[in-house]
Amino acid sequence: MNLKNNATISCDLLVIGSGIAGMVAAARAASLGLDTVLTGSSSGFFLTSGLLDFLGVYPVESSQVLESPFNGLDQLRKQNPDHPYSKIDNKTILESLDFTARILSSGGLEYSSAKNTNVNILTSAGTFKPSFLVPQTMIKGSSIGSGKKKILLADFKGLKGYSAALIAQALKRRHMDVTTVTIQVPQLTGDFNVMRMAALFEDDAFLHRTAKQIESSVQDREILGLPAVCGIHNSQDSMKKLENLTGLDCFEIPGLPPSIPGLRLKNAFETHILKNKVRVFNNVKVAFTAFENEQILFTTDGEPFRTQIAAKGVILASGRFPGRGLAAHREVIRETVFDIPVYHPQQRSLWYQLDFFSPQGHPVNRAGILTDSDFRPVDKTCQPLCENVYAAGSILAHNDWTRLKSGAGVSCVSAFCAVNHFHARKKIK
Amino acid sequence: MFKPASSDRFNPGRLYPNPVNLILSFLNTIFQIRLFAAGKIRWLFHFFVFAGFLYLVTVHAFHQVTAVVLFDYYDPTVDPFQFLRNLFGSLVVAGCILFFLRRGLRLRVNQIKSNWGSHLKYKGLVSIILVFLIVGTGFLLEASKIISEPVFMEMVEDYSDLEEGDELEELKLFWQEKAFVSFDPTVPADPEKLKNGQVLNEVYCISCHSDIRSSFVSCLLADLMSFYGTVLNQTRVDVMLYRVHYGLCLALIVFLPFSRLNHIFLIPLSIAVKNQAPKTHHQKTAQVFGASLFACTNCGYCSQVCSVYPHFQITGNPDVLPHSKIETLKKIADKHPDVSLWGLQKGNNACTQCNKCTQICPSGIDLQTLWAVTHRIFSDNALVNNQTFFNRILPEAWADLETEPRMLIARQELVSDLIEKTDAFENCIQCTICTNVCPVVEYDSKDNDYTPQQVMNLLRLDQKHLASGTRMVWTCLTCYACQDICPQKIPVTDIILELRHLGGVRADAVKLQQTVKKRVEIS
Repeated sequence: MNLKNNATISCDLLVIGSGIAGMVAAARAASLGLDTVLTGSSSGFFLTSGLLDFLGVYPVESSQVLESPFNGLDQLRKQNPDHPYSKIDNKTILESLDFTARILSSGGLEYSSAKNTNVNILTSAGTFKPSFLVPQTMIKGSSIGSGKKKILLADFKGLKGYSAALIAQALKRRHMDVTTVTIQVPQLTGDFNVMRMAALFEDDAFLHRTAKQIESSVQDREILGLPAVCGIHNSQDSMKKLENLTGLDCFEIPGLPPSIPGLRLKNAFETHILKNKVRVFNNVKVAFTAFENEQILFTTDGEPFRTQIAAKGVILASGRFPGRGLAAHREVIRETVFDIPVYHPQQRSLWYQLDFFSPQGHPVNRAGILTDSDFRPVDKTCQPLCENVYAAGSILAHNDWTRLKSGAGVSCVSAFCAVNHFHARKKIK
Repeated sequence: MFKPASSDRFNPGRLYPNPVNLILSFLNTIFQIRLFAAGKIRWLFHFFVFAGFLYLVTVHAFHQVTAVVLFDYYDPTVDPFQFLRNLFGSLVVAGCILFFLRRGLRLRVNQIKSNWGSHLKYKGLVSIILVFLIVGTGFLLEASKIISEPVFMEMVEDYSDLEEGDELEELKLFWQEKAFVSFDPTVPADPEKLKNGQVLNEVYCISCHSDIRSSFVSCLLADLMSFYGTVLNQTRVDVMLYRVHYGLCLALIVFLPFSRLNHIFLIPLSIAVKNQAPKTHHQKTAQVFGASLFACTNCGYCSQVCSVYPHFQITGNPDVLPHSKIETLKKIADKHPDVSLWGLQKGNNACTQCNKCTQICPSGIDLQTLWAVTHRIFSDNALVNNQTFFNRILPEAWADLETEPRMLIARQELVSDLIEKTDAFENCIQCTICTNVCPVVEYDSKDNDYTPQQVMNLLRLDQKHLASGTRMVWTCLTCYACQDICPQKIPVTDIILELRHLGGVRADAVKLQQTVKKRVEIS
């Protein structure tokens, strides 16, 4: 390890941001043989549900859930040519989603999709949301949408933010057959948090005790729904064991942060990219220094060791406001690394609709970086700012991911394609 | 003999000590095995003095109840008793002289050079001087009796039927030549008379008087004193010396409980009491203060092995070291007016409870318990370190203290930035990720009152002082896991450290008020 105060490293590709887009970009770059450095914060995944959406709703105003994302894609490309999905063909989209599922599997986490259709996932609010790539521990829950299953919901006494009774109430309004049971956890006293709960699921004795407590409620039930806390490192094994012990199909129900499925995603991505020799700077911010000789120079912040990074290409996957990829000021939104001009409504008063649940969504959520078809950020004249700077993920404009249910999809797809383009350009040289 | 003190804690305590232990303890005490293990040379000096003085006291001083009973031929002037008295007396003198030399020349075997014991240099000196004088005057007394003509004449009158005459002169000559008596006028030498004198000696004296030369020291002294024999005999210096010698012995008896010499009773007592495991804190306090505290002989071995000796080197606070701490405790027990409690508290807090001092203490004092009791006494009197202080105050009670006037003292120089500027913590979205990764919360959730995100929320509610009184702030490990992982980049750990500092300033102010109040009450 070089302990000089000012070390310099060079790489082919620097990925800024370690969210879904950043991780997929780094993995794709490594698979293409590029020397990759990844930098970003470690906490973003705690705020994700663990579900990877592709396209759940289109058009936004209709609030109609799409049965298959591809149904809406054609319409989207016609009506919204600036949307990230409009820059890519279906085949590549599928390839990128498939790639994501594979790298997660290599990291020990299995995700499944239902033959290119959306699945409806029950949430801890008792609502259903459409998603595409779903953790194996949650997929069985998609079958309850038919309304014909006899459902048992379990919660844990003391686990904050999750109530089986609340979910059951919502489901009963949809005329589903639901019963509930509350499991006591004697070794955790008082109110406990999800991390401690999740760690317990890796213990066989705990699984036995839990199954025993559920026993009397099993009766004629067919499927068991649990909060999404069933283990951190071996969630699939824990679920299988629980299924064997209870004799029921089991599925997890995603809920409020901190999200354990999100943590599992993070662990799986990290395992994969570290296996593939990506160099990672954890919780280190990079500051852009200069363009120089076909290289882009950065300095890491962090006393006393500052590292200079000289990269041939950059993927800007720094995210939106929570991750500080975009910074909102009174009248203007700025991009925080390169100060790339950000597309957003001209006046502050136009940022939001007055009604939070307004069907059209809020214009500010469509703000972001404009790019060319290769995902390079462009200036006002639509010319790329720099040949080797690319942008991917939620920082891109024209994508209201909360309403479209397209967040993870745009991240995976844009990251995959951006890296492909960079690699192709590099090969030509 | 070297049972670590901590093993005593698992001993429920016995009502009747078993006989083997009793015998072993007895032997341990008689031969000072603990001191032997701590330092061989010091043990040697001490054993000289101890063995010598023990013999002199039992056989010589109390001969009426010991030697006379056991040996029907006993007389102090009969061998082997005459020889032994001198032998053991010289052992005592040798030991005392070695003690003085060690003190005077500061002959210490290890690296401790600084004047860590300058205020203790003269401790216990009086006891040694007294012992030395007693034995010294004993020798002088014997010598003065040897040369004494009046004593000779008294003996002749009591134990022989000799009258003034030739035979008496012959006896006198023998005693002058062979037994150093100083006659005035000197008896003229004559080999014929000497031989007769010897015969007379065998008739009258020898049954009670062995050859005087077996009292080798007194003999030597008598020889020297005989130069002034006449004067000394006329002034009956032997009577004076007897009174002095006897008086000094009485003085010793009187002085004993108040001097370092009480260790001869207190050490066995403290070792015996130590084997009884006390059950409550009050029993512990009583035990340590009653017996062990005054069994200390200031030998200093404890400080030589103290693990936190470097703390003393840097801070210069002598109360970091056990030998000094125990003196301060004695002063407190004696209600001495000017005792530095602050120094003792700070010093005691440095103690790591490593148990080395307890293991080596030749007096067998349970030092570890003593320090624990000291710590407890400080807590009971609100003179505690801030950690303990806070752990005993509920956050709500701490917030109530806010109504009292604040006296911020020296420690406030550190500028408190993060808890005054709201933008450090206002972005907290209460996502509870910090709580979920906190190892202290994980380990201790039963006793935790507020979790990290709750502490941040307290700041958002402008409850700084309530926040600084929470247990979380004081048990934080500063592992920085929360600060690293916070999605909003809130410096959670740094804020907690600043809250500690704030609490420390507050705590000092409160303690100052309390101490002032206490002093006012006492005076």
